[in-house]
Amino acid sequence: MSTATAATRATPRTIAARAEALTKAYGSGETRVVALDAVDVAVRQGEFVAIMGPSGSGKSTLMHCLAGLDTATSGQILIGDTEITRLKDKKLTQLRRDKVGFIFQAFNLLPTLTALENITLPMDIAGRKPDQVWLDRVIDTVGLSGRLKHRPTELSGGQQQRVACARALASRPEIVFADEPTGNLDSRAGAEILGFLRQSVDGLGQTIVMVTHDPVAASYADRVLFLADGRIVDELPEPTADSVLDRMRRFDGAGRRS
Amino acid sequence: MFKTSIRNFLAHKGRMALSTLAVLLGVAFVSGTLVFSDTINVAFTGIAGSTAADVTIKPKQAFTPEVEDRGLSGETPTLPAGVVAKVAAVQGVRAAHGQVSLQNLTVVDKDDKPVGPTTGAPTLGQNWYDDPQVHLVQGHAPTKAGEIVLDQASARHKDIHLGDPLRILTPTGSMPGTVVGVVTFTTGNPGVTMAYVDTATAQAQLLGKPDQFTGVTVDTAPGTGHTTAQERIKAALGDGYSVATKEEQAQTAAQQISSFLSVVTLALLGFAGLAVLVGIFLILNTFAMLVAQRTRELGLLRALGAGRGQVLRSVLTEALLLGVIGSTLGLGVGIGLAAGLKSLISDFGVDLSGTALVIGPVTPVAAYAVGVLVTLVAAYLPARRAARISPMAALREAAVPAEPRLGRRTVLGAVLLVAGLGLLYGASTHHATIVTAGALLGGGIVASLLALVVLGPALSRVVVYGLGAPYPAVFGAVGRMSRLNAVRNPRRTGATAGALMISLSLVGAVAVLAASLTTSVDRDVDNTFGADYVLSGNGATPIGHEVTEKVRAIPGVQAVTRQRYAVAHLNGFQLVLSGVDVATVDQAVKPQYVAGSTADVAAGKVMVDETTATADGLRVGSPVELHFLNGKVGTLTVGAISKPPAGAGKDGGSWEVSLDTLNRFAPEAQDFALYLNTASGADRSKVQAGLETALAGYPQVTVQSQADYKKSITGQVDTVLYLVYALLALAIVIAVLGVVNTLALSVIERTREIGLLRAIGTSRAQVGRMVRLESVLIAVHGALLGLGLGLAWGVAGQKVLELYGITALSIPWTTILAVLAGAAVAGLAAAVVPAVKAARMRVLGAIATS
Repeated sequence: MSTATAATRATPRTIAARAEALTKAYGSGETRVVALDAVDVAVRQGEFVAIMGPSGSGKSTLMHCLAGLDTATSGQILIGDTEITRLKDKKLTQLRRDKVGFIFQAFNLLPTLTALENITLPMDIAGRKPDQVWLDRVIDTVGLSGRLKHRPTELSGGQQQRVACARALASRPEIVFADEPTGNLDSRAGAEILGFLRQSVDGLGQTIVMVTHDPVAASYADRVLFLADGRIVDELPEPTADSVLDRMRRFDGAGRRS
Repeated sequence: MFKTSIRNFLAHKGRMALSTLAVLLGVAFVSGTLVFSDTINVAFTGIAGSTAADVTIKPKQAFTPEVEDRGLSGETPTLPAGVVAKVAAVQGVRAAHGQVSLQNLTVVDKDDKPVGPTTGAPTLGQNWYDDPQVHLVQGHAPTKAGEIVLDQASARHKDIHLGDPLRILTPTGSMPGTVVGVVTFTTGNPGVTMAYVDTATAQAQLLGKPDQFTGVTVDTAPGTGHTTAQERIKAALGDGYSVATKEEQAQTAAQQISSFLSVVTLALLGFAGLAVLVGIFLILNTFAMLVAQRTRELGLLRALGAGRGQVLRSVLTEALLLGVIGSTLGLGVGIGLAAGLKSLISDFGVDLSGTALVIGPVTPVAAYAVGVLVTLVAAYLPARRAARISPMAALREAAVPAEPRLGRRTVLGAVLLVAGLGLLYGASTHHATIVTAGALLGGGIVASLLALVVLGPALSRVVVYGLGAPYPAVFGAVGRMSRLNAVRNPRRTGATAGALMISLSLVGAVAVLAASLTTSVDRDVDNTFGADYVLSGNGATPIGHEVTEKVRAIPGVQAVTRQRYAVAHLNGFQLVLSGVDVATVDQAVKPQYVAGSTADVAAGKVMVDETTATADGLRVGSPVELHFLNGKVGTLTVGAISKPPAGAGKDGGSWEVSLDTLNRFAPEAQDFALYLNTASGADRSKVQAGLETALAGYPQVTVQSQADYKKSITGQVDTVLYLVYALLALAIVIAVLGVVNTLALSVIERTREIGLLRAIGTSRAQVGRMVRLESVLIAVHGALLGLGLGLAWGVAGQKVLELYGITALSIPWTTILAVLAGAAVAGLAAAVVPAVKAARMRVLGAIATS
């Protein structure tokens, strides 16, 4: 399904994360609810993918499964070369720590730690020294140099989310998952964050998967995947806010028809 | 609003469980103590009342000595046999029995092992007469010398049967015999060993006075009241006898038992009170956290129109429920505890099976009063805080509790601390009287304890943060988070650690005092113990003259210094007067004189210790009028004043005269202890062997060398120390439950944080470690404060007790370090369940929690 977009790229790139026939179901028998229904997804290295869909479409479940936070009922998930559906909790935790970054909608930071301590937390937990040059670059990019000693309660919502972004990037993960990262922010702070995410893909070569319901946020991505009823129903390369909105309207209509 | 309270209470069952447990434990200890002491009281009074004869006649004594001093002198007051006939002739007397009853006996089996208990309950020897309370179950009554009847409990306990040889050891000699009968008692047996012989043998061999009795018991004729008989007997005998009815006997027995029991009961209730006090911290924390978690909910109630009073009452209603449930369970557990104790002591030969558990009206009242009051008091502060929540709280984002302002609190705490330390310093430098020094000490203890409780939150910030300083370096990011989490809510950490602090402060103080006492005794023994061996009886009874003669005959023994005791009254207060062989006392016990010398004692004057002399305003030359038990009165002159010996706190002080002087006033006093000095050049091992041979037949006599003597004192101190530790354990357990409680609630509060940590790659093990490290910090913090406080109290206490001979200060560092290490281990143990809970938290669920 991704051959068309792959062809548009100048250089062939390896896959950062991939799901094959990923199914997630809750309950069993008559009460069985299928959240993801044999989904196939591939995210290439250095790509910024947005996942959209109405609530209950399974977009958050898809992201949680891809990130190793939730377990799949069947199918395969690969982060880099690692097949994660059969990993035990310990290995999975290590994988999240070393290869995955997270940005959540809210409550992203530990209130007891300073901004800098929050940023380096995943590496501290792993007992690794951060790469100072890279760390400085990340902090510079998010524009937090003056606020590193502050506690989260002393920062604005936008600043807190920038700290969260810096944390997600600081350990140079293979892939960053962002769950509605601008959901709690005003449009100016949201634009800053999205601009920063875009910049980290273009400038730092980061791979990002973002779940959002905001067409403007989605327009920052390289590609938008549309989910409905646990299936990928469409995808839109090189999106703009208008084209996403347009597609969503049609898609809403389609949704209503079915 | 009441409905909301009940719903809330039920909704937080789990979180309430530990608080309920704390109330339960405290109340159980209180009610268990009350039930047990009531039961013992009723049992012993019942036995004393029903075993007493209708009327009992005894020789009159000048006063009634304290129970524990009764056996010291070995004197047994007697009345002539003629009295029995006189009494029998009184109208309305059906039968009068001459009674020979002796307490200071030892009964040994064929292996020379004591049959009776060596501690606690006495061994009684008595003449046989027809007593309706005593029933022969085997064999026959004693009729001639050499025939002994034993009580069934002792026979069973020591596996003794009819025909087995026994020996009765008395202060004057020993009487061999054979068991010819076994008896039981109508009223049960509270652990006493009873040996019966025929009257003539009892008089001649046990009492050593033919034609004398220790008392007369009377059965009244039907139709004659006990009081009527009593009056007639009094009239017939004239003065010089005490005549008591069955009812009066029972009452006296009850008074004696309850005055002894009330000391024990008060001590146990003191420990229960401590447990309850510690429980307050736990409950306070629980409610503080519940209120904090429910800020939005309570704000909503306020927004919907609930008044402050209603919110306050709704929280207090939950506390009331907790108190009632905890008290009810605690009362039940307490009764079970008492039942357990009752059956436990029956294993030690105290048979209370005849008495059911006595649950007096005070017990449930005390149980509920303690349980409910404590919970309400503990919940009041959080409830008031809840009532102050503004309706706006309902609308705000999830509550980030504001940093508590501790300014005023810290100032108050600092003032208290300065006052407390000042008082403690005052107590330790004040050398006038024990009363003022004790008052200063008590004030200092209370003020410093309050100070640390008030300062708790502020201190926890500083101390916990300081203690945690090595954490980041040693445990990395996990260590840093533990350290920060521990100081996150200073009020909560302060209260949690405070509970531990209170219990461990007492451990610290008691440890310092015990170590100082042991060291002082050690030093004292080194300074004064001049004898090579000291011989004394088991229990506070004399060893008897027979032993003295045997010991004197051992080759290589150069001097035997005898010591006897007599109980006397001075200005209405009881004292114990010691009489010694003045010729050899200097070499046996090296008296330390402040004034006068042994020559003054030899000259018939009296020696008193300095502390007592100061308290009573006595100096050399002062006259003292002593009233002895047998009615003799002697006016002696103070001739010497000694340094107070270690542990001289025994009521009445330490008084000494020459043996001759003592014999003048208490001619029947028996040898209580012997101090042996071996001849120079004598072979110690031969003397030792000679002693062993000579004393083989006297298991009631203990031989101690200087080292043994020290060890026995240390052993006694240790026994008391371990008992106190065991009782403090209850408070410590509750304090540790408090740590569990705080951690469990903190874990729930931090669900989302833990979820986030897990999401970004913190392993389960790391999350668990984080909780455990925090717990260790809180526990060690509490222990540190408690031990510090305890050290200060102990040092001040030692200085105060210098007046009572605790002259050496000794700080048991190993104990203190062990307690600190123990606190760390307790912290780890407290964290087990919360850590597992935190580690098992499901990542997605945790993140989704709002």
